[in-house]
Parts: sequence; structure tokens; C-alpha cells
Amino acid sequence: MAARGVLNLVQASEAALIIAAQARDQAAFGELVKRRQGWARALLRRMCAGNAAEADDLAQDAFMKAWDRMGDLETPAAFAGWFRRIAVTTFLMAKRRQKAIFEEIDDASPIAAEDSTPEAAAGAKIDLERALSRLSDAERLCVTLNHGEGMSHSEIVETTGLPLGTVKSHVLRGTEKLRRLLEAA
Amino acid sequence: MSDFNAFLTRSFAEAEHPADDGFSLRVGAAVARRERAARARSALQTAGLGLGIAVVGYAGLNALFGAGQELISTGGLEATRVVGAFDEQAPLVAAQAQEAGIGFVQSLGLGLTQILVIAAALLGGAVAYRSAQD
Repeated sequence: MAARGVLNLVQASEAALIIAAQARDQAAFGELVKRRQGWARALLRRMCAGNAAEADDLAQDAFMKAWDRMGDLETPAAFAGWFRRIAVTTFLMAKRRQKAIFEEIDDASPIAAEDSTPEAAAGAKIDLERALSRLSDAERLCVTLNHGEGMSHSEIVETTGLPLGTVKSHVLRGTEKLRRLLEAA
Repeated sequence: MSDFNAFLTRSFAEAEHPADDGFSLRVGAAVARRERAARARSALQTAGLGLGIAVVGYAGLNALFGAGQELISTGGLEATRVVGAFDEQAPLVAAQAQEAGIGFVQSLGLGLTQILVIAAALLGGAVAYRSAQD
């Protein structure tokens, strides 16, 4: 019985898993977590400037909130956007607790000075992660949502609750900082 | 700038997604713990609500019968007063009425206890209902 259940879960579509999780099926939700955890943790790692431990804690919080609110999800197709909003809200709440969300980092000096480290050999991916860590929390959040998640400015406004002008400014300034950091590297 | 934006979008898309079965297991265990806790809380709330309803019912029945007895005795007292008004032993009836008045104050005290019990039970029920909604 259990083996058949596991086999069904592995073969099930994401929509079927979501519907089962909405009916409080813990195994279906577990499979959903298994499939979505890479994306969720990568998103939060970027927001947390590469702090993997903090990102994983926030990702776990976000999945727990998702489990509690599965009934609020209207259609399975909306899961990605709905969960992204939960993840962003979880991140913002954590930063507000730390009172750090609008801490500005104006240092946009090139990261070439750190190129002698072994990570530099890994290429542009690590450079991007490192460059992101040089942005302020708000800039990193807006740039990640805009370029990484493909969200429009108005969608970012809706998700984060930040004013439109602030979002545009953070995306513009964050992108410009990244360009300067990466081109100089 | 648009070339750079395209490069940035591509870089994000190519970034690795960390896979960790341990993470899924931790979330699964946390969900199971939360569900167990929710079931225990629900059982506790149901028991509390049942107890509250029992207390309210018991107090309500007592209040109902108490009030009934009070009504009968008051009616009887008034009837005695009326009879006494036409009787030669009127002073005696007045004294009895006064004694009955002391009894009324005592029964009012008992009634107050019942009112307090009902109020406490209703308050408890409201708290249990509110926490069930949460």
C-alpha cells in the first residue's frame, strides 16, 4: 500500500500533488517540497546574499506557511507565484525582525580584488553570487525578483509592498551596481 | 544596458538549484509535528468546549429550577399576605414574611453564584471558540 502510494506520488503531476496537499495529504506535500525545494532555496539564497543556513531556515519557514495556507491557493497553476510571494514575505519579515531591510551598501567597487580566491575560477555564476552580496538587501531583493524571477515592477510592488518608485530605483541602481561589479571583475 | 540585462537574466537562469533530500525530510518531519500538535490542540478544545457546555447546562437547569421554586414560594408568600390582611393574625404573617425576606436574600446570594458560574462558563466557551478559530 505504502509502496504504491510512493510510486503514485513520484509519477503524479504537480497539480495532482497540490490538490492532494490541499486535502491535507502530508506525503503529497512532501513530494511537492522535494520537487520545489531547489528553486525555493536558490531564490532565498540570492536574497540572503549567499547565506545558505539562513536561506534554508527561511525556506523551511516558507514551506511550513505554505502547508498552513494550502487552502488559500485557488488553482494549482498559481502555485509558483503564490509560493514565491510567501517566500518573499518570509524573507521581509525576517529582515524586519533584524531591522536590516533598508540598510544601504554604497560600496560598488569592483570585486576584482577578491579574484585570487579559489572561487574565482568557477566563473560567472560565483561572480554573480558575490556581486549580489554587495548590494543592499532591498536592491538584491528587487534585482533578484526582476531578473531572476522575471517579475515586472508592478508584480514586485504587489509582492513586496514597496512603492513603485522605490522598486524601480532599486532595480535600476542594483542592476547598475552589478554591471560595474561584473564588468570590472 | 539591455545586453547586460539579457546577460543577467541568463546568469540567473543558469544558476544551480541546490538539491538536498535532508531538507525535504526536515520539512516533512516539521509538518508531521505540526499536524500532531494541531490534533492534540483540537482534542483539548473539543474537551474544553464539552465541559463548558456541560457546566452551562447544569447551571442553566439549576437556575431554571431555582427560579421556579422562588416563583412558587413568592406566590405562596403573597397569597399568605393577602389571607393575613383579612385575618386577625396579621402581625404574625408580617413576621413570617420578614423571615421569608431573609430567605430571599440568601437565595439571591445562591443565584449570584449561579450567575457567576454561567458567566465564567460562557467566557471559557468564548475563549475556546476563539482559539479554535485561530
